[in-house]
Amino acid sequence: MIDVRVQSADFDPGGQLARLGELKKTAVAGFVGRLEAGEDVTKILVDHHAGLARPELQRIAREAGERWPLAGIILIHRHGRIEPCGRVLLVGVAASDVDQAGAACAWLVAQVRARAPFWRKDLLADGTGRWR
Amino acid sequence: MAALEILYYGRLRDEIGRDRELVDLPSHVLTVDDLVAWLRTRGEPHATALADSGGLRAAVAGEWAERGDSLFGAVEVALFPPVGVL
Repeated sequence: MIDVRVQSADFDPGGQLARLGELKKTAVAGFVGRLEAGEDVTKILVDHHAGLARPELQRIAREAGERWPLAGIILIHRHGRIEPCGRVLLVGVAASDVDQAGAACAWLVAQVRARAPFWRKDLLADGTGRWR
Repeated sequence: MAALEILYYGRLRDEIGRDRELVDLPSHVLTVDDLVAWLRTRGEPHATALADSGGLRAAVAGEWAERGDSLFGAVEVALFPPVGVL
């Protein structure tokens, strides 16, 4: 089961990991990425290439499924205007093997960070913005 | 000459001042690298925005592209800085 979503809405990490729990495997590993920001940041704009983002996340998930015997993979990446310290990325996997679940989750996070076409702009209280 | 739509993402949107533009591509522009070099010759704001060409990435027709990839038949190219929000 591979479930990949690109959305502006927030997500419920517990609810998503519970979905993976329904697969009744030994291990469910999860990662939540948040947009840490300084005091001067009022909002964070996450820009994305709509035509490339979802296919790339699907490719990453498929590659993980080829590397490890995973029963389930969930990838959710948000875009749009997000509150400072808001959730932006969820990676979750279910597997029979504990070590493989952890390794797959870490690999997925690294791949999404390096390959998924999303960009961050911090919007500041003075009306200016800063790309990161 | 061939019409090509260029999409900009990330900091390039602000630095170039738009998120897309339609250009008539001269015949000597054959690859992604050629496109970046040609855009830089058109003056500001492209020259400065695209100066760090080593960090630029590209997608042609919605697929990742290498800098040496051909633009033959392409109607859309995306240019953007390194990806990632975390």
